[in-house]
Amino acid sequence: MALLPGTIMPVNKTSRIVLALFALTLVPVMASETMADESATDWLMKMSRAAQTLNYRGHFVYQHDGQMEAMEIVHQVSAGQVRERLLSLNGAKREIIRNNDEIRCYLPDENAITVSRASMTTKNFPALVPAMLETLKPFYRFALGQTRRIGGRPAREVQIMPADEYRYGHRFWADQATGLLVQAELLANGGEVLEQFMFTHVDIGANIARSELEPTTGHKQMVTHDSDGDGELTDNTGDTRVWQAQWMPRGFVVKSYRRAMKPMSNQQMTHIVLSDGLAAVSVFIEPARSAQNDGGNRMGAVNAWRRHLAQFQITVVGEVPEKTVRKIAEQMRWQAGKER
Amino acid sequence: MTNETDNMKDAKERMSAMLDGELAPGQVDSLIRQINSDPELQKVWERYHVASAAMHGEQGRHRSGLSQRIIEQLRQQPVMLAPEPGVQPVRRWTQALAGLAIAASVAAVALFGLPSLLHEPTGNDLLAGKPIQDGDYIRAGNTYWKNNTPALEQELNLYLVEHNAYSPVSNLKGIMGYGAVAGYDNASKQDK
Repeated sequence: MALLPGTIMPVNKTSRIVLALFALTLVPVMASETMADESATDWLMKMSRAAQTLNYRGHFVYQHDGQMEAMEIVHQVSAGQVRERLLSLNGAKREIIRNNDEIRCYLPDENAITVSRASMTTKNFPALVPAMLETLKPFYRFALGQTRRIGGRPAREVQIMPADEYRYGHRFWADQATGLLVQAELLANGGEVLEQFMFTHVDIGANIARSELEPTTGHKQMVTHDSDGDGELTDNTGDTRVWQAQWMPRGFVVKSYRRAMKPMSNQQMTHIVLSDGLAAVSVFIEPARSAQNDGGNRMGAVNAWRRHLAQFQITVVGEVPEKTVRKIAEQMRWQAGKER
Repeated sequence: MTNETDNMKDAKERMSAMLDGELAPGQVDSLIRQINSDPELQKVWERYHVASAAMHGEQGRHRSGLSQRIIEQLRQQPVMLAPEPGVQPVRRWTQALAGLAIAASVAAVALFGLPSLLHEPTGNDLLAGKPIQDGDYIRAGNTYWKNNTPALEQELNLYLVEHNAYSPVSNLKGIMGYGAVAGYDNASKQDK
């Protein structure tokens, strides 16, 4: 029966059953890792290598919470040095400049530039290697999806689905030819997309001029706030407590424990990073202030939970479900002694 | 049935082009600004994106509740495949969707949410009366923390900057992972 525009097709019970069965045959069947010639982990490795070796510039859309932001990105790799620039094209004109491990956020609406150093990215979280991916397998299921066209080019889908409700899933699409990540989704346990990055235009292998990596938003009046120099900040409070997370999701370990300057303040804080190698949460501990902001907060896929414990304020932040940040915050304890 | 303005038609055309990766980079920014400032366009975007995802076989991205609602509606009423007269933006993926609908399986297409693409919501729409809910795909809101204390929001933003520097996903996403920080928009919040 041909359906023409404007036609209303009655669907009786038998038809519905037949059509439903037919519908099931149309559902894309995701190739399992064991069935594929190339595994999902092969593709993740390829994506990781592409991120560290390719030059590109482009525009992408970042979506979450009903909001869509257009961003411009320039990425250059030269002699093993990675430089990137990210600029918001709508709303407040915020800009992020990465120069290897140093991240500078130009926040004109805050009249501030914040500086932090992503030492974890290159040290505790080095480029993906097969051994690291093996350690993730008890906590995530890796699978290759279908190939589809994104921006006119074939892209391969890789899924990473969590084994429990304490972490999110990921769906990545990598450019078939180069491995460059061209679309990424963060998925809640029910499968809904919490946030998405999608290139609307990308020039892979572009020649990047140095001027393209210079900030366009900074001005002399902006105040620079450096969180910790090189991470060797010495405690100036005399506090000898050692903080411990008495609960973490399975597979999480302490990846970093450091003293840092709280950005845009003259106050020190303890910053602890907990991670399973893919998901990560940060625990920020500092002297208590008002307890009126205790509780949960969320922006897109990022959840935060704050509570007070004695004279301390504990804030847990990460791209994990609310129950995870809340449970970690509630189970933070200290022991007297010397901090690591 | 609604009478579309030329602006709406033009916006739909450009939305469709963007989903196909065919919109010129220079036009993406203005389109996004337009969508962000127009609630009607935001609704259209939601439907387009659902349909586009369906065309790419990504129905699993929508939580089961949405699909279940559509299935329930299918049981109760016939499926309408009538495009609204005047709806012009039938680009590659929309054409393919329509073709799939006619030639293959009404049920399959309905599962993917096609009717919500092909015509504006009416009392008979599969999704009518039950607007897309929190978590279906895109939620109403803006890029800011769900909190109305400016000092706390600034504090959380700064925590997020620190946290991002330590996220292992940076190996894959690179600086794209800072999208939430770069896209944070106090101005849009204050407009609300």
